[in-house]
Amino acid sequence: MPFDAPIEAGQVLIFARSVGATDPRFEAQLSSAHGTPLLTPLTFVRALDHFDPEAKTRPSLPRQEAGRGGRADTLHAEQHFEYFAPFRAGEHVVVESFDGGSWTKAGRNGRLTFTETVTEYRDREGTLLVRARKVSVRIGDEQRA
Amino acid sequence: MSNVHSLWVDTVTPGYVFQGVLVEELGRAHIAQYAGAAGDFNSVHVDDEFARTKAGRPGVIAHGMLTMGLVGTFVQSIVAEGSVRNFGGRFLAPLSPGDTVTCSATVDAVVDEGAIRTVSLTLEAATAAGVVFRGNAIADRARGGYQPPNDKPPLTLTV
Repeated sequence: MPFDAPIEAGQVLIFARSVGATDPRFEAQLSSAHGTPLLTPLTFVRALDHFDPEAKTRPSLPRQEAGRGGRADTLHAEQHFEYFAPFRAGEHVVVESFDGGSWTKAGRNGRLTFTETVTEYRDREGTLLVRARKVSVRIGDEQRA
Repeated sequence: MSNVHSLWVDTVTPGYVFQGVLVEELGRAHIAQYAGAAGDFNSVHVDDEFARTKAGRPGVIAHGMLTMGLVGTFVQSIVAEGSVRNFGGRFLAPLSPGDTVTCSATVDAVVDEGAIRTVSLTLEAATAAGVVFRGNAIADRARGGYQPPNDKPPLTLTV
């Protein structure tokens, strides 16, 4: 399901710190006026998962554990980003994911099944800002899963 | 990682290699910090017992996207005021607490078009045990924005 996420310079700074970014522009842009283009870490879109009401890797009280965010036999194999336009302070983006391709190949421990998920981040006018492509791999035969 | 700006030299040529240290002795606090920032509290990243008994790991492992995020910071440090068009790669092994991670960015191609220089980079992050992430990035930057000291680009970028 698509979801809506606000773009906040404070969240950008918190995420930047978590990936070792100390560029002073991340702090300087905290006082950015609405609509100002923001410098964001290249993988910042991951932080927008906070606003996904269906996120499975977020613990929800009173449960103690977060989910695994996927099957135990599935690994995050690849991740790719295309950047078209900057996020802007105070604006909202619409996040929507689609199934991409799927393919198999033989591995040392059995068949490997690859699946793609494409996620697009658009402003409210529909302009594409970032496209992300995630490739997951499931190890082993379907019967083992 | 300290700040590195304006090291995107106009004289960079294919084969040039930027090198840096992404993290020294990755801490559990770093993994927890990333979990909070990304909203990804998957138990394999935050629960040692779960990682050992349910995931077959010696303990918690870092998010692959933390590795990629660190590499992304390295790329942005190189590009400085330029803009990245594409960034991607493959996860080859997870990071564990205590790992020190280095990264190299090799210039594959340089294309000048008008006032814009477009550079393609091959990226490789590694621990003492081997390569953990391999990828690519393409970035644009206005030409003529920086002149290296003594007309020579730095041979090594340490961040």
